[in-house]
Amino acid sequence: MGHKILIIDDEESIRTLLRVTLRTQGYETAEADSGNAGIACAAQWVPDLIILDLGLPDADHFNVLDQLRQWSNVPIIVLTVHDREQEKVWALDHGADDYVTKPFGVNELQARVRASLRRAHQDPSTPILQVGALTIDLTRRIVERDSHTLKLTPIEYELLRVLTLNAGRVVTQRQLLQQVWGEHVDEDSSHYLRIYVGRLRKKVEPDPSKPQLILTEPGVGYRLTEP
Amino acid sequence: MKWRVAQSHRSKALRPQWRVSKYRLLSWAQILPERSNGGASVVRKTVWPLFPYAVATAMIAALTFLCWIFQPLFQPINTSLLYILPVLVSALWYGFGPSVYAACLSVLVFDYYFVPPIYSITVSDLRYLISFCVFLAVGAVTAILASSLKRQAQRATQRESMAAFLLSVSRQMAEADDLPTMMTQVARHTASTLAMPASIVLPDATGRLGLVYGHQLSNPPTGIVDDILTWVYHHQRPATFGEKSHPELMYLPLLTEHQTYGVLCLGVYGQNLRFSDESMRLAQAVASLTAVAVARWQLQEQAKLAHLSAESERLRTALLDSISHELRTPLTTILGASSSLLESQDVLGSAAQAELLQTLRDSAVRMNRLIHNLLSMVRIESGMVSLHTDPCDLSEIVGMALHQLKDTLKNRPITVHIPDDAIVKGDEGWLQQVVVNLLSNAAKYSPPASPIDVVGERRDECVRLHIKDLGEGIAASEQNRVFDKFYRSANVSHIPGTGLGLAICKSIIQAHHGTISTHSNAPHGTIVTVELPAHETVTAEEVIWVTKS
Repeated sequence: MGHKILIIDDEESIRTLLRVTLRTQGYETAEADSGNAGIACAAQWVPDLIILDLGLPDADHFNVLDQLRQWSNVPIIVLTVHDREQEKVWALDHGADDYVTKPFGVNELQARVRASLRRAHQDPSTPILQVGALTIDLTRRIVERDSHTLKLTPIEYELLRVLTLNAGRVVTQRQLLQQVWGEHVDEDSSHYLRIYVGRLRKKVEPDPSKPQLILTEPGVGYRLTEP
Repeated sequence: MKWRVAQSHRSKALRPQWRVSKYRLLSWAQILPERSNGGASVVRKTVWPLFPYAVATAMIAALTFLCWIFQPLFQPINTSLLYILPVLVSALWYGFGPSVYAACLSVLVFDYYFVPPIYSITVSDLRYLISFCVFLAVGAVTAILASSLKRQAQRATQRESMAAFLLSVSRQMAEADDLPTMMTQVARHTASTLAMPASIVLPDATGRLGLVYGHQLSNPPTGIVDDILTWVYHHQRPATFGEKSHPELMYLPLLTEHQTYGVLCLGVYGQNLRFSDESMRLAQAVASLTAVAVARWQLQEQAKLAHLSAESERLRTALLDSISHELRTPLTTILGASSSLLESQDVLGSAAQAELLQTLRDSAVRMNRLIHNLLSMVRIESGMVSLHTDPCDLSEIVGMALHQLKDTLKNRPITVHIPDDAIVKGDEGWLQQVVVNLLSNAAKYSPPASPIDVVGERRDECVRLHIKDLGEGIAASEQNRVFDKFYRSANVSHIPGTGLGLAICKSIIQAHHGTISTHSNAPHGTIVTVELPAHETVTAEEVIWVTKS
């Protein structure tokens, strides 16, 4: 039997769409039409992944995310709309794993579901990661592209490491700053981030003007493409 | 600016001409305790300045005559006390000058007629000189006391009348609803109190001083009123025309701390009406009071505007939120379902395919309804709606609406009771949209498979349609608000919607000269009642007559 996915959305048509497409991919699904029903279902049914609509009325989704994260590490993908960057960042900083913007293609959603499930089940001790032409050896701190070793500064290496550990998933600017520079970073220092990401791109991207490995999610953060 | 100056034989200060007034502008609160030298509100040229002295002389002459006649009865010492009387009377009636004059004259006359040697100014007994001095001193002190008493009394009366006047003006200002009324009333009131024409000039929308309230402006031959007005307005200083101390015309800027709001124009040319000191102060008080009133009114208008724009901003946000959500949901479903059908055709079973196709169509229908509602709203709001009013059968309209909603109402027990004479005058298409909106609301906000009743009734001149559901009902406080655009009750926020449907219904029904209202369908649920003017029922004979002809 495939992974269990819980769909929390108040719109019946979207629930139907997700149910039909996910089931054809071999997943098992359950549905909830409100935040409370979703939490109850997550506790009883223990899903492997939750898809949560951020368009739930009464700001329900905020509570749902917070309450779920109090006792569960299950991957959560949020459904959001295009022009709500603040909402996306908020959800990601409050424990959502990834987001999909409405209207979305089914393939895009399935790719995000796959990436989140794989990350949740990957062996954390894997020392060598492979992303496209890049090979990152975490034990020896060596980054290779097409068998050439790249010279990275410590900060560039840290950036790449954090992005690689979250490959396929968006990492918010705040998360990056905290993990690379430490806990006490200024919220306004995001332009440092832009500069370092630019330098990193010059070293790892085949064509830095058309990034294919490190993608910018406008207003939210960065995403390393899936291996 | 060039001011023409009239040729005149009078001294420079008396020559009528425009001059910038030296008066410091005081706020009206400061003006009240100011000293005032009295005089009528308007100074007419005084003809008899020496009249009080004549009266004093006459009184002393009469007294002397009486004393001369009754001289055997009185000692000189009694007579001398009697001479205090004219001094007192002059002090009370005419003030300091005449009373001192009366005291001196009394001493002289007494000395001449009653002090030996008689008929001579010379005094034989030198003790009389001390008496004279005491008499003069008593006269002077009495004069000072009496005249200051009189001044105080006068001042109190003036202060009281000024306060009463300002109070009544400010009350008028507070009561007036709009600026023109307020300004006209203030000008009229000021004119009647000062007994002079008064007008208030405010800038119009272009900033030109074009709005005149009260009397027409009096135009002296030596001044260009418009230019003076503009000068006063821009330089924030008062200007007067006529004699320096008692001008004929006064132009006062309506000034607050920050800004000039207009000009108060007082007086009339060529009527020999001049301002007294008191009326000039009163004019200043009115000017600053009016300025405050205009400022307050303008601030009120600005606040209203700000409130309006905040309200329209809120509406716009609500519109954007609701429409983007309502459009995006079906769009997401349509995109997702169609891409899934295209890309995973081989994996999808026939049941799954059918389900996706069904959601595809439902979403398209939902989007169609939203767009239809939006366009209707736009057409109604922009006044592009033209109603084709024909007699139409209510049961037919309900029938068409039920047919249109047959998918939505699939599992609902629906009862329809509409009498045959329920015929209304109206536009079939629009009325059908009203019924569709009301029925789909009833379905949306009540439990699935709960019944919906549609009842029509004919009342003399009108036809009523009730649509009853067993849903959550509408709170009494929201019965009216649900017809507002984009208003959605808080307890149905879990059900998607735009808040447009009932607003459209209301607009359509109003265009038909009907009413729409909601009531509680006790114990739970809602009744929406639409009332429309009925079409005159055609009797059977008429039908036959029409067919024959």
